[in-house]
Amino acid sequence: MNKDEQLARLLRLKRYEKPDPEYFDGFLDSFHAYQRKAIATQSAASLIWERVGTACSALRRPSTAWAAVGAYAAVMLLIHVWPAPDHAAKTTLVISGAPSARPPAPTNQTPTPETFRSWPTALPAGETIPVSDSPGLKPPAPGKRRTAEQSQDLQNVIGPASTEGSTAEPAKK
Amino acid sequence: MADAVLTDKQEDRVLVERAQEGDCAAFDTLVLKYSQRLYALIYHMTSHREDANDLLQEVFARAFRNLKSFRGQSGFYTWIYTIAVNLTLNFLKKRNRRRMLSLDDVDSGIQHDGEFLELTATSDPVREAGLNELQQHLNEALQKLSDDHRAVVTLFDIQGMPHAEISRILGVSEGTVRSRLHYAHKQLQAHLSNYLT
Repeated sequence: MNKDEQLARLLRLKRYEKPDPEYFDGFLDSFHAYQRKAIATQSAASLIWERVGTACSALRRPSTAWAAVGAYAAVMLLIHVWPAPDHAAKTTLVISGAPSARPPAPTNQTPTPETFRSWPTALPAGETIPVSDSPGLKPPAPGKRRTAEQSQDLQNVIGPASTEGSTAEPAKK
Repeated sequence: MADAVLTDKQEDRVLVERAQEGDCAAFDTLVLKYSQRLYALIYHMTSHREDANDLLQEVFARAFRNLKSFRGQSGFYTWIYTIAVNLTLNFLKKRNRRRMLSLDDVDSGIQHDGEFLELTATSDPVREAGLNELQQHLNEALQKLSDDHRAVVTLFDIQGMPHAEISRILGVSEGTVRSRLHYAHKQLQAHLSNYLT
């Protein structure tokens, strides 16, 4: 007899560990008493929770039920809590401050929406810069070209055209 | 044998249907029918008579309260065994968190059943050891297993249940059942080496 068979034989001995026969004779009565006591003391919430638990175990695979609940909760969380995409975040900064002598320092900071609101950002196609609001800058009269001085003033305000896409930090006022 | 099992299942189905319609006597019949087997299952998983008694009452109380939700997709036998195993595993988790079961608490009373004595008399190492000592060592070895491994050993080795039925009760694959059994047997062989030649 090998060790597996000997072990199986030893474990089978445990079948003989039984309570006294009187235990099962009186079990039904003690069970009825237990039921009455349980009904009197158990709260409605615990009963509902217990029924949900039993229903889940009846699905054979409780993990599947919990996975489904988890997936549903995750989707609902994404729908309700995830912030709506900010239009400003997709735009590109094309206006910078007056050009300085040194190149703008690179920064890892993401500009906050307030920054974008206080500084013009993208220029949708077809729109022009409202240069007429800038102090000291007058639009040329219709049919007339800007003078060289006017063009330089305009460059000082809006910066060179090659700054499109730059992440340069706007100059402080 | 297959006919007997089928008849047994049909009998259970009739009793369950009657109990679902409010016949308490039908449920009492089911209680009487399964109390011994379920007591043995819970007792071998807990190694504690008082705990086994309390848990057995709770198993039947839960089954009674949830009988309406039983649709008969599995046998009543499998369903109530599932309740018993899950309830006992939950209880053991709480007990293990609260305190480890002292080996002094492990049950050491044994029935001096004639068949048991005859069985033990055929094995030299077992005969040499006292019966109580043997039972103590068996229970201690079982308590050293994890709860999941002990459940599989109890269902397979002590209750003689087939792998397929165990996998249905525990909600795991048959491969997992076999793997747990293999590991548990290795551990038990190490703990009970004095009794194995």
